[in-house]
Amino acid sequence: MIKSKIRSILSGVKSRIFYSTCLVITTAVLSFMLFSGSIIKSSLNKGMDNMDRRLGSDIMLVPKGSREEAENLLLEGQRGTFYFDGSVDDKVKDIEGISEVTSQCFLKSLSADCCSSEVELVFYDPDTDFVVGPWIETNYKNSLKKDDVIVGSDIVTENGTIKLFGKDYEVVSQMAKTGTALDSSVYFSSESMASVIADAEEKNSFLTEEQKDGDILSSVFINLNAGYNEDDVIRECHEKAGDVFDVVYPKQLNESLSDNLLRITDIVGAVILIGGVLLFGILVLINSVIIESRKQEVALLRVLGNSKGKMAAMLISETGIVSLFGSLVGCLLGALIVIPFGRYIGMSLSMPYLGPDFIGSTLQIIFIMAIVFLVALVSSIVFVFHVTGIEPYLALKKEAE
Amino acid sequence: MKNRFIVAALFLLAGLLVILIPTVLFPVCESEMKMACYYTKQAEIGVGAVILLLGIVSALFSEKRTRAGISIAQFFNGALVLALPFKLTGLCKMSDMACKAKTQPALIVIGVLILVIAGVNFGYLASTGSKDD
Amino acid sequence: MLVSEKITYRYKKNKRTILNSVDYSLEEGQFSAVMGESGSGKSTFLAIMAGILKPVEGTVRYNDVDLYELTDKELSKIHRNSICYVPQSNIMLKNITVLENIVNPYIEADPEADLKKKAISLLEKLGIGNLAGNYPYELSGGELKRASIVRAALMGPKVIIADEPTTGLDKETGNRILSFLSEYAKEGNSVLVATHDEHIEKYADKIIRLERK
Repeated sequence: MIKSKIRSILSGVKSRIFYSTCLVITTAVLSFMLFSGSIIKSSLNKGMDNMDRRLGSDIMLVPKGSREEAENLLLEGQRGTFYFDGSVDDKVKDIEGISEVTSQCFLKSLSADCCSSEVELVFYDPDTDFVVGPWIETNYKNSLKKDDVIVGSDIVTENGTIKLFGKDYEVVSQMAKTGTALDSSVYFSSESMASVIADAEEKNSFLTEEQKDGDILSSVFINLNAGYNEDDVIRECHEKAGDVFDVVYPKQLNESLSDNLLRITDIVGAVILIGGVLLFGILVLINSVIIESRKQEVALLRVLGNSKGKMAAMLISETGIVSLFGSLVGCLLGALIVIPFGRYIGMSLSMPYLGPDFIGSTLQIIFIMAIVFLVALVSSIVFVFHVTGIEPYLALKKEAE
Repeated sequence: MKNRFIVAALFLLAGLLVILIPTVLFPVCESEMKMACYYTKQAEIGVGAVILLLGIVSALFSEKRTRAGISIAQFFNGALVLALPFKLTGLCKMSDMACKAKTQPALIVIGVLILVIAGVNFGYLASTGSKDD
Repeated sequence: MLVSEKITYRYKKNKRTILNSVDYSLEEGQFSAVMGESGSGKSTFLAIMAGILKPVEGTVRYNDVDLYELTDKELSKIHRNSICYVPQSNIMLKNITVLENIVNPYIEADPEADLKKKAISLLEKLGIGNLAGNYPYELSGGELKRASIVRAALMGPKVIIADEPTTGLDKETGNRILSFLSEYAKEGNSVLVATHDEHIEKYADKIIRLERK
């Protein structure tokens, strides 16, 4: 019974192959837009959430002259290889109003077993770090020992080790994907720094003579106690540490990134809205043509003993089946393009981007198919009731004339 | 009749794209060294050429059986388009390398489309019986 | 069996009266014909008798049930099992076969295979059994008309009402259709046709003529 019902609906679809194709194409385009738009939007939002964690300090000190570089790199989710004297954090940590201080040092390295791809080495202090530390702790509870490393999700390891500057390091943990530069970094405890730099020096010299001697830092992150003025604290830092640093305000950068994100998601939203309205109009048009052209057939079927309700159900299920099919095609096409290209989309927008997982995408597809199905029904319902309501004889006669 | 030329044109276009994606449209990483992605590129050029030529050949045959056979071959060629970057020759390992960020997704898209076209065409030819056109 | 009392029909737009208080009765086993020039209201009369056009005044009773007092569902049941109407134009969906066109409207009622077997035997009776698998555009007007009649007769309705079943057809095909319908009536059913065809006199048990008003 159900099988034959479906077959009779399908033969109806087949008998109007041209309009059915139009309907499939329209719903596919609509679903493609909805799916890709919503996936891009949610991936950017997820990436942004992860970004928040990385930029989690009130002020950040970087070597003098590198402010612009640091800001740009931060916005693109990357780190800079600039250095200043390793004593800066010690000098500023006792200033009144500062609640937390921690420092990180960045190096770049060619990963041994990969193409000419760079990995970033991050040296952080597990005891004081509040920038990447809490994130790493979500995955690795122990304190990171000397010469052990934790790697981001994109880092390729071999047998639990990674070769850097000619030396193998044991990987104790690999982090989950975040969609930011955190994924392509290798994390060391700052204890390991001296020996890694020594190895690096053998391969290629990139430090000034002066820096080679002492310990070096790339950035100092500072959180303030509530009620203290940033400018006052910075002035004090200058007095204590000398005129060796520039200041970056990660939270402000974060806001500008959020603004960018908002602008992009607004555009995506507007495109979805305008396109959706247009396509709804097209759907109304197609449905009016399909259903009007079926007056005669509907009338005949009613004469042959099918009730108005049954005819309405038939017309609606035809539209429904065709639009569900179109919607599925559109969503799958969207998934086929947006999911593999996720990395590229993030890269070209210079935004952190964390693609959806399988369950998330599946739910999204079901959600969009439900919406498109409803839209298709709404766009057809008036015509359905108009056509099934006509007196059969009048519809039949009209065609005969 | 119409089906024959539409499908031939689709295969021809798909073959062309398989050649153009790793070379021109979404090129693999540039490097002096011949890396994994270089060999994938070379192999995809070969597979793309086969897909393109089979597309032309399929337009010459009116027998549905022959074209159904070619569709089966194209299906496995599509699988090969996908298998090369993933398994057989591979790509660079870092996800922000050009070959991984651009070439691979583009090859996924075209590879899946070839699978779908070949599969649907085979199903169509098999279901419409033995009438030749 | 099918009785009309004082049916009157008038176009809504120009208020022209087509039928004025017509009484009619169609008995079991009867092959009955309505004749009259174009515009005399034959088609309208048939539609009203078939229960697909509500008259302005009067009633149509099938086995003492007033068709126009029934709900849509009840009336549909009568159309499915008892009163079948064949319109003047041959309405077929063009992308499915003749057999599918005949069987599809009833597909939910009975096993498909049974319906198909029955449809083919009826098509054979009308001499077009070999065309079941063809598409409607491959058939001539006469062949399509015969297929339409098979579609109406498929469920074995007690009454078949056919609007000009032989118009535009050659004599042989027309006779074939009329003799099929006359035989159908003899099996204990009733048939009502509207026609210009004078051959009807050979087949019909009862003929009435409508005058153009």
